[in-house]
Amino acid sequence: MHIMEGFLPPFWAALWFALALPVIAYGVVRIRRLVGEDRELLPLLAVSGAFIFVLSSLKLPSVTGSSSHPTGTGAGAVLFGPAVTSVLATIVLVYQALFLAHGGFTTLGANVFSMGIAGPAVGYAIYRICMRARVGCCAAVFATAAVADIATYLTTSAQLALAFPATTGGVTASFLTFAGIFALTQLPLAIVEGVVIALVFRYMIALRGDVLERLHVLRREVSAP
Amino acid sequence: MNRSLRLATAVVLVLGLAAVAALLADRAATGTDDQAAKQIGNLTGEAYEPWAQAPGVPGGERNAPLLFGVQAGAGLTVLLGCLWYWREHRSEA
Repeated sequence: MHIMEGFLPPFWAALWFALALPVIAYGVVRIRRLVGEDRELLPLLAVSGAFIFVLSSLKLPSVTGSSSHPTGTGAGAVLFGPAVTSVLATIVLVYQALFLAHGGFTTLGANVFSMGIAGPAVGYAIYRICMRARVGCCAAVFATAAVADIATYLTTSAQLALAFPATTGGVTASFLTFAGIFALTQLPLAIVEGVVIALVFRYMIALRGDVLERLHVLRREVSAP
Repeated sequence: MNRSLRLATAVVLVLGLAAVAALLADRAATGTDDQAAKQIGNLTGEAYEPWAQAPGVPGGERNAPLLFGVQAGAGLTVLLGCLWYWREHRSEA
């Protein structure tokens, strides 16, 4: 999913950096504040980062004959929201750009924006809507993770479409082409990602529902034994 | 072992196995990244030349699976470590 090194023209690369940097900075401030207030949040933060580390390393074949990887940002979105998730995603993206030639430093801003900000922001909104609609927590987490995954890839499609509008049909035609490549491959992977994160969440609720309640991730009655 | 723990253990095991499978599998399937890059030329009518090159995988491309494995391993270790920590400190909550 990551846009490769040098593939975005300098203007677009700079624009996505400019949009991503303030969110990352706010995420760092928020992490310092959260951990300063409650040290018990550190393992939750680590779990959120671990999900991104593990799931984004799995390059899996999909139904279309092509391969892709999940993003793992759904857990961070549910627990801490998009700003904190952007910091965690940045760490993973820097590792992959540095050691795996996956993504790149010139495209880091665009990749952080799609995987660390836009996807988790949409996922977070879905989670809040599900909570207000009194959807069960595991179902809400599943929806969050799956939608965050798909939203990430649609954002990447939009980023590429804006930078490379088609000679016939412009940005729209270009977006549909890129989304066709990404979304079809990603759909089954997003469902798998949603199931995996929802099942681990179920266990986390059983273990430390009290911490999740303090973060307002759970309604009080959900975590009550 | 309660039901939630069994489920979580199963998920972590599946993740671990998937990581191993992904690393060992024949990566013949084309990545969506590569497909998207190829489409740029088709859409704009001209081949796009990247203006920067990735630093490359340390030690060559053959090390890429190992480094992906390090990434997955580090993540799994943290995940298991945190779940174990919570389980051990559950009674203190």
